[in-house]
Amino acid sequence: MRTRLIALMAIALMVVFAPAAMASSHTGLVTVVHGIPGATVDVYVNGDLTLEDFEPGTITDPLELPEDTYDMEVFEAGADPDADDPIITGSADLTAGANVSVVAYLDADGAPTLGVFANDTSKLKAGDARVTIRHTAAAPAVDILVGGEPTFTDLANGDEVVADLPAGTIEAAVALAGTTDPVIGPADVDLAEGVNTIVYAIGSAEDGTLDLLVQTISGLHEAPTGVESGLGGLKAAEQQRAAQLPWAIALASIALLGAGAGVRRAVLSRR
Amino acid sequence: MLGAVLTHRMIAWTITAAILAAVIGAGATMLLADTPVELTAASDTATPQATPAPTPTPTPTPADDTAEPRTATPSPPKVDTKSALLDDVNAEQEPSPTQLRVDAIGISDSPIDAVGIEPDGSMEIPTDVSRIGWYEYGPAPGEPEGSAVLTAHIDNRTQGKGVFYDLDALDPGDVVEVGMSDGTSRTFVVHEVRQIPKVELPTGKLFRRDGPARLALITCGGEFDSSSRHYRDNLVVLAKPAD
Repeated sequence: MRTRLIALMAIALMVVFAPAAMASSHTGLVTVVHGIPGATVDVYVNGDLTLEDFEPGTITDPLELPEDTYDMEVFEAGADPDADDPIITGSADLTAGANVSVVAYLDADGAPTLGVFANDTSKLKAGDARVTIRHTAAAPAVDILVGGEPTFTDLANGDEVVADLPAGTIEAAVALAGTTDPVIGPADVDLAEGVNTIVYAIGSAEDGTLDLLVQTISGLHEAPTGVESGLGGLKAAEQQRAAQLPWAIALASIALLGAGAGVRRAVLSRR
Repeated sequence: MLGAVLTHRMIAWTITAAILAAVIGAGATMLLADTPVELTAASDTATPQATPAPTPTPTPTPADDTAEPRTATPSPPKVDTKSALLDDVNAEQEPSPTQLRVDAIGISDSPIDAVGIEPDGSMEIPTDVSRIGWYEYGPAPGEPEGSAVLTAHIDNRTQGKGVFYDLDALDPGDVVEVGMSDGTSRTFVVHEVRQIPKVELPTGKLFRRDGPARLALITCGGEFDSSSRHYRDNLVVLAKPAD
């Protein structure tokens, strides 16, 4: 009986303290991307309606969430989550310090799926930009053409490429692997300095809904290493002259005095 | 009979004890409530983005009928969304600085060029010593946050004195005006003039893109190393937006 009493007290204490203990001390950032054309959806996270009427081609602001595993269910907008079937379900492990994109997209066969991509938020050299290209379209493997040239080749559905390059605008296009005839683009993509610009190829080749979506992560910049703003040395020379002037006057005065004394002596000796 | 009474009494005690424990526990939680929050904040600030991005495990599963019933588990707050279509994302052109006027040292409408980075990682500076460079990756003068940077060569062996030759003659209170590409003009007031050894130049602060809005004018100063053909110091003028 006594042991049962202690056990009950223990359970009571656990129930009371559980919420405090569950408060996680570390967080990660999550951006949700909707890359399935034509389907406005409701997104439930851990059973709660989190994104209502989430439209194709939109993304969320980055969400700061405690590290945890999140279960996600995507329903047609307005569906009853208790009665209707979700379009997609999935889960994501969020670790402290991570920056991830959760992407609703079509797999190579055109079936809706959820993907979790880790975003590269490492610092960039001053003047550089980062581009991430993700194949999230219902299409076979593709090549990414930059300025018309195949630059990243044989990217399959669910794959990504990441590259750091000087900031500027690139002309990007997507072609089926081994070809140079664009199925998306060419389109100008601004690659801002200090920013990871993430480009998603989305939609379906079959339905003619291929398109590009863009997510940006800023604040990855570093400062220039210095400012080399003088090559002539004129200012230094001028300052040096200015500094030398009193000495020059002093030397001249001594010389004059000496000369004066010499003249005087000469005059005296002539007498 | 007696046994039954005892048992009932014991059950009553057990329930009472459990309720008491719950009440005490709740009180303790309320008292302790501040502590975990503080600890959380402290440990978060101690390791901002310090951990490498781990690889999350994508575990998409096909839709099925076994979805659990909805419960009141902790969930993220509702969030704002925005269009990710390429045309909506490509940045609009903000006005950029085009000319500088500093009456106190005789700079009248000197032209400003947008510049970036030299191959060695230092800031690019117009080779023409009569022109000023604006670091285009940082804020433009007059943006609400961060440090806008303008630099010019102090001099050049063949071209002679540069537009920033007399920058060291500026004093706190002097007025700096920046003309913008949209025809507007933004006024700043000098509050600090400093000569800093180049090796100690606080580039992280001078080029920061957040924090209070200000304008930094930078050139060279101090002794000239004739073997490397570089000055040893930087001259930095900091100005705040005029109210």
